[in-house]
Amino acid sequence: MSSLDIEDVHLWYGQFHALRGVSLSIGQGDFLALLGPSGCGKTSLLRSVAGFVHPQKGSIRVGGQDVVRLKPRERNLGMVFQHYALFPHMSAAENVAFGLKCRNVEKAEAEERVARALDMVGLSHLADRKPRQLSGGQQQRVALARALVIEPNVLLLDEPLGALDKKLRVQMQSELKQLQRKLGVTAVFVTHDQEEAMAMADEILIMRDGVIEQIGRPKEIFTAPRTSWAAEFVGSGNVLKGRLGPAADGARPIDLGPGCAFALAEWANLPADGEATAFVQAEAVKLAPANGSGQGLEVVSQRYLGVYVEVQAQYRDGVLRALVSPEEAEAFGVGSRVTATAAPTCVRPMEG
Amino acid sequence: MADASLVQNDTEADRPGGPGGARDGEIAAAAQRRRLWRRVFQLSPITLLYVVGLILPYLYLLRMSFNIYDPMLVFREAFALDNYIKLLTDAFYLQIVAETIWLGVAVTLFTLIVGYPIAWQIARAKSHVKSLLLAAVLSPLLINLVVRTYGWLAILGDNGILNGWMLDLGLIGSPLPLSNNFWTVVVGLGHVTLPFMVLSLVSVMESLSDELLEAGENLGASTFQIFTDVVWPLTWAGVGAGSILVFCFSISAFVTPALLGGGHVSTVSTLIYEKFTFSVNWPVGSALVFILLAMNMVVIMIHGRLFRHED
Repeated sequence: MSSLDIEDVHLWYGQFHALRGVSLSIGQGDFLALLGPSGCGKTSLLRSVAGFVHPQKGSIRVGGQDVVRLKPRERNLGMVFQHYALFPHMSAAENVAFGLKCRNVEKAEAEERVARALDMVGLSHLADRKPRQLSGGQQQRVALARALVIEPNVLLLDEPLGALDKKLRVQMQSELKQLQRKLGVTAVFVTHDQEEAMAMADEILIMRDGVIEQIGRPKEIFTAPRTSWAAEFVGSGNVLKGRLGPAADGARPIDLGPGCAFALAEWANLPADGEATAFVQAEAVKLAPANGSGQGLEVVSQRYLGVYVEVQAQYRDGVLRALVSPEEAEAFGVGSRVTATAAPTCVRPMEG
Repeated sequence: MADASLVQNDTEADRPGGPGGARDGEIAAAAQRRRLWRRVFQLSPITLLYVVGLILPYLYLLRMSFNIYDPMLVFREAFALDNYIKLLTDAFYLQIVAETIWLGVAVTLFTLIVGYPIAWQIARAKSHVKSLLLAAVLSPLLINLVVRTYGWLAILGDNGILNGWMLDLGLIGSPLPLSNNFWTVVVGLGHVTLPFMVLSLVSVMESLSDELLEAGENLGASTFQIFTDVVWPLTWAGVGAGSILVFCFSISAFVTPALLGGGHVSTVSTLIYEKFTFSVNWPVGSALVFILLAMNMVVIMIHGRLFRHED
């Protein structure tokens, strides 16, 4: 259980520059999610920490010790692989015991620790099963027990829930999170699923083309993406681009054409020329029926999401997404005309 | 396998009976008959080949093995076990059976030790390198058996390249006995059976994912531990398949032991040849054929026990 500090890490695969100066720092017991589309370098970063790839430049410190020159087996990191990588010829208990055997842990102690680890993931009764006799979720738990039983400095998880069906995935997310918190183990989790990252992590790092696009708490990422790329990747709202008007009532309106009335409560960091990019969460967008036909925005689609209905309305520069309750949505059927607004504090300036 | 699945399909599709009555049953039966004839037709060439080329000669030899050798008549019709009793009790013959088994074991170990790392490299290579390496490994099979064997003599013989060089360099005073012995035969047989071992191993090694090796490393295993605890048990099936191919090929081989052994290496196969051609003792030669067949059968049974598929 250690802190993890990564400083200016560069990794090349031949000509391809996979990691371009990544730096981050997480404290002991934190849960970091590496989020990004495939090919963004998130897996490369995880594998650099694990020691399977070797960054040409930069330092990776686990609990203050630089591990870049250490072999994977010398790093004492627990890893859960994408396809679990359970040894097919060993039982669940033997899989879990493997790391202890490599550490020459005394037999009696090893047996006790294996039993405890299997109990922790709720699989004591399946200890003698071979991996192929276990379901995907059970294999997942064995892999987790195997990674945790060695008391790793940091737990590394490479899209571990990707192969599970949705219901099981959600269940495993909360179990994994609870276990991580209970054990206080520092964890790094790779995923391309924004919801999963939001649900589990204390801190989210969004990567794009080998660089960090944004790092922050889930709420920050969700409500205030730093760039329009991050906003679109997270997909939690709308990127608004337009000219700012003069301040009125402590907010500056942003011109998005007729039917839209958005204003920013914060504009200090925006460029002086008045062109601004802002972000507003889909939940924060308030719709109202437009007065008179041909006025406002046309609703182009409705998508039922359960608790919310997503309403998409055509404005001057694109499609505006709003999440409204199913009752409200009845007033905004496809083809109806609406106006859109949001509280100025919910409209956040972005870097572009 | 294919046949078994066909049978299963038939029973699924043609399950007769039900309330449809006799007419439906007749139609189904006719369909089944048609399918049966089609299968017989499709399998007839291979069946014919096996019956004419293998089963009939074997039956003839089986009958011959119970006859009694007669120096004047070649053989005398009988139903006696004399030949088998002699072969299984006479120290001379038992010695040859033992040497044949030892040859099979030696060639198998040789191909396993040489082939395992090669197979590993092939399984882990990128696709274009892989096809190149595979072609190299398969190359012994592209050369005529006799040519390949004399090739080894040209290298290992008393006047061969190797002895020639070493003499010229003054490393040795007289030629080393590199040919005409047991180990020459092992090398010669190992050369031709290596592809069988390598291909068997490659097929299992390819299905071993890199993630498993990484998991081992991550959990703190040394390279040696990863080999003994992960790679070896997971490639065991390939070791078994390759070994049985190489072993059966080696104990049944004739040309290589006969030519590279220079008359000093006697195996069951060379003995069969000797019995049929020089001493014209067909009954004992025939019995030897079945001793060799039995040896192969036993090995296949042992393999079945050791490498039984789980589940």
